[in-house]
Amino acid sequence: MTTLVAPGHTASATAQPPTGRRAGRRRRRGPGTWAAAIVVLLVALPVALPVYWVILTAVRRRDALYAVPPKLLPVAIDPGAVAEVFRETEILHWMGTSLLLSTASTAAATLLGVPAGYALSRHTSRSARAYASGVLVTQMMPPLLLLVPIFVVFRESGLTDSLTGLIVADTAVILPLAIWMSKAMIDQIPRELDEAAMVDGCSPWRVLVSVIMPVCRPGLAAVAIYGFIEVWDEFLFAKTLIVSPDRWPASVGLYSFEGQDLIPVNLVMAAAILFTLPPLVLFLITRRGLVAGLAAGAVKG
Amino acid sequence: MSRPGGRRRSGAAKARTLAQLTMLGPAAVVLVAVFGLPLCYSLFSSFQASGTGFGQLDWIGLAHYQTLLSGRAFWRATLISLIFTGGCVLLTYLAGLVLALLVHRRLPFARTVQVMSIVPWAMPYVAAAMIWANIFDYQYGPLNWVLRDLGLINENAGWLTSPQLALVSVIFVQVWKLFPLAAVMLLSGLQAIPAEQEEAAAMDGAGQWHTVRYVLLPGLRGVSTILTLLMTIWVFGRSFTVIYVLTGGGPADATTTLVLRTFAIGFQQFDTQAASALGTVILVIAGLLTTLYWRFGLRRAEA
Repeated sequence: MTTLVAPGHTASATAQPPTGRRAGRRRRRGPGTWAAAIVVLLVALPVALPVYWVILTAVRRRDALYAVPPKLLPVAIDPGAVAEVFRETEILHWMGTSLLLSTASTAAATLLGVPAGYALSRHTSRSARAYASGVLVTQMMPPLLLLVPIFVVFRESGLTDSLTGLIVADTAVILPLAIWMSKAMIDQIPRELDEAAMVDGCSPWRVLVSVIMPVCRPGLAAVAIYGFIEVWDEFLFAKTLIVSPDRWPASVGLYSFEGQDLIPVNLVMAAAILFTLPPLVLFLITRRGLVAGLAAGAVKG
Repeated sequence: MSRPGGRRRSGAAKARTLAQLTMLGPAAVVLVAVFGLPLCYSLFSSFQASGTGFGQLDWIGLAHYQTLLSGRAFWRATLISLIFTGGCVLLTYLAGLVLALLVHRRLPFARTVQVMSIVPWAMPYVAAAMIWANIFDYQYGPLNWVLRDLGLINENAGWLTSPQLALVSVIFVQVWKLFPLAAVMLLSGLQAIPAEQEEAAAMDGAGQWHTVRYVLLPGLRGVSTILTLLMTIWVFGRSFTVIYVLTGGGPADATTTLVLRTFAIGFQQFDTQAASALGTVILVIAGLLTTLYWRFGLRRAEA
């Protein structure tokens, strides 16, 4: 639900590093604490076990893949078999397409969204507020509602089954968030900064490019990263608008394995792992680099 | 802002207005083109007979809406949307709250669990759904066999094939994807509560439970309102992939929410007009939810 975390919340990204604020405090370790430790385990298991199972299945020996009952322990494994995922599936090709879609849509949404976010942050006139509200409304709208008319229009204009058409649709899906997030980031930069630059004779565009953007680079990186992950994850539009298998992004390609037996399940799981790695790495980078500066405004909204 | 006076200043003001237009204009054009126009077209075609071609006219008034509201399938999908949305929001909130409290109170391994929870959060929806489809599999999936080994069930359960269980399963997977985000938001809410309040409670001899109940939960009210409303809007309107991949809306429409039903009418029955009518109904519901968010969520956040 990355898209939805509207103004400022998105910034909270992932876990924050411990502040140490309460680190030294003494804590009563009564029965409550032990009950809580059991609760920790209850949360941990649904997170950890699927990961264990996916990795285990991916490296399972082919003759043991469809054992009944399934082998729950790491036996009958053959890590070398994973490499077949590159030969027997199109996963790399699909991920290349996903990369193209994510990069192009994110670039477009950032180029359109950051200036708009800046203008909305600095102008509080009635029309600017109406604009901002309009953006918020588009962000809350179920994307499926756009899909039916977009499909009809694309069919008329020959944009179905084209990556260009999908890039347009994906840009549209992430643009409201890009505007909102940029606005929330730039809201945190004091106006005096732009006013000083204006006095020095800078035009608003100049202020944006030379003053604002360098100051909130981590925030803008967050805008781009969230857009990228969102498009990487996108399935509904890609599934509906793209027909030719050689233009599938990874989400649609991976789904094509559902319910068919041509590709053994260890390779399906290996492909799922590969598909997860880029957003996972981006999440981890975001957590390290961006959180500190952004978390401050996370709750204020 | 002070009104600019004098001829030279007004030239500068003009330049500023121009800059504003060039900053806001392109995004506005795109938003109107891909949100505004499609929605208008959708609304328009919901009054046209099924099968009317693009650019043709065949007004039938509210007939699609009448068919819709008088059919059982619509009300069933509404009920399932309600259960799905309510279940997901409630469980996501609770799971996120538990994890956030554990991390905030520095319980053993809570941080580790939170770092691990980045995996479900970052995992693409299709990948998550495919993986859970494997885990839930009647025969080859580990879930049935683990539960049997533990003695919790006597025979394999159809996690995705029994109408009652399928809805529970899709809710579970959606919660699995969403709760790490809820945890992070609630944790930042907890960290915004002044530490002195907790220290004072500890001084007064309050245990874990009392501190949570009387200090932390009241302090979270604002964040909780925003989070709950946002998740409701999101789960209601956007959770398509988990259900589509895991059950496709089945068995026997047991997991067909309004969004799934619109998709089925539009892209499996190819009745664009009827799908548009259903889409309009969804839009109205989403609009109501957004208004609630606006009134109660954002306002509270600003206060």
